[in-house]
Amino acid sequence: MSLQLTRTTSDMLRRMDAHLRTGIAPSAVRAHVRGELGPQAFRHAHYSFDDFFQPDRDKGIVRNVYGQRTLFASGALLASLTATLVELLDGKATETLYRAGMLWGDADFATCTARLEHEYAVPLSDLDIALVLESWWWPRRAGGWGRWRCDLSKRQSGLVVVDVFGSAVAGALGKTGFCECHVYAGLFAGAFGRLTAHQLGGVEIACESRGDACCRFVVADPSKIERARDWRDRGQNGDEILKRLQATGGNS
Amino acid sequence: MSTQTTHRVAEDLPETVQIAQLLAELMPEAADSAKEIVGSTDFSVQPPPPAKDDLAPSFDDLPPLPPPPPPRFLSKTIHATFPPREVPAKPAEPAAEVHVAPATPPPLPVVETVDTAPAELEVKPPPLPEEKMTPAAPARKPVAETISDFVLESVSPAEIPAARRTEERPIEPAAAMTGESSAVTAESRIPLGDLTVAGFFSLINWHNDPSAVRHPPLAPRFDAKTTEELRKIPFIVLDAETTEDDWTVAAVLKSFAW
Repeated sequence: MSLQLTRTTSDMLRRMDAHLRTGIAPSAVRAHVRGELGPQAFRHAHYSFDDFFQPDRDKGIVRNVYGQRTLFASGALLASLTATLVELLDGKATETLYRAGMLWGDADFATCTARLEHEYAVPLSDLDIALVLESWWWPRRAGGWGRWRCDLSKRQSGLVVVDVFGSAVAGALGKTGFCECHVYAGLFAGAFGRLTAHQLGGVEIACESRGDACCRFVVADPSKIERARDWRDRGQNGDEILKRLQATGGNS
Repeated sequence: MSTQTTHRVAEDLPETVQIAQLLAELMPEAADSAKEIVGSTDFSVQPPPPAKDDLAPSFDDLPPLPPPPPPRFLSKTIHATFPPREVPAKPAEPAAEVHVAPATPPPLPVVETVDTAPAELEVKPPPLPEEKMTPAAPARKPVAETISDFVLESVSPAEIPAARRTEERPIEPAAAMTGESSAVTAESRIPLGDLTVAGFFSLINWHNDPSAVRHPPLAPRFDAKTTEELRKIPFIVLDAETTEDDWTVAAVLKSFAW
């Protein structure tokens, strides 16, 4: 698991030009998506561990390809953080973790937007939605936060469903019988809120700590998220909550 | 003329006479037939006459035997005893099988009736004109010669004809025997960089959800130069109709119903 300690957008873009730019394509933003059949202006595939993380042994630090300083930690840090927050904040620990994740997701997606527009030289609105989402999550995957599957097929109902396989939080806390990945829920809420320019909320309706096959999150309007959280606390499983959200739109 | 005197006893009689004697004893009605053969009905063994050289006939003095009657078939006896029965005739073979031209239909088969022996009561196919017969298949190559082509002679694989080389391929087990269905397996390969089917679907749609399969976008999304270059790639379909052709961020975000 990697934790990003410092970053600025300008530093990131400068780092990208230094490490990933090939110097072929102009940097001007075009009005159309242009297919690059030959050598690419930027090296897009850089998500293997050795490519993505670049240690500086003299300084004792690790940066990723975007110049973001990174700290490697084990799952014990997340477990200790959660235990400490529960001990200090009691009932507000969950909300605190959720808020931290939301701020992280919002800032991270804003940075990702600038990076993608710089890398592909087009406005974000012209890029393919799958490219944008995968480009945003791939650094998280390279950092050990798990694989994901984003389902936008229920967007007519105002729902975004995200499955995470191998959650770092669930792996750190183990089988607790509860949904524990509040950081992830806030992360997705902040990222999709930044993408859609809406105030969105997120809730985890299935978790590997509860014995489910994967951690499932729903991102939707905050009113629907409140109802979904209530259904989850009453013991309904993820599939039932999702069906009720689709059937009623979260209004009952 | 020979003057040799013979004393003939039953054992000395000709074999035909002995047979005639036995037939006379067993079948009196057959005596006439025996008479025709031998010329006398007196088959009793006579004591030898007194030795008279001039009266003793030799074999050379015997009158010549009449020629044998024509053979009498058993069928006459059978048909005299039992009423004649109808023998089912074999149906005529179709023209296509006997390779007879349809312009000249063959005559109906002839059934031989009571005057012939039962063994001869069979359907005889009509004679086939030889000029309309299908040419006979060429004679097979002797087995020894075929084996020598593969075993005795040292033939390099390049010299073996292609038709024979294909016969040396290992026989693949049938799908029913191996339990495999006719569906495409993960080991099947598609002509895209020697990529397996499983690898292909892991790239385009890793959880194999048909509803989530994305189709190539339409050409108007690209500029003219890009479209022209993409047309050179056979795996990119630009002009096909797609169910949802606009997957840009703007279009997808517009379709959200918060």
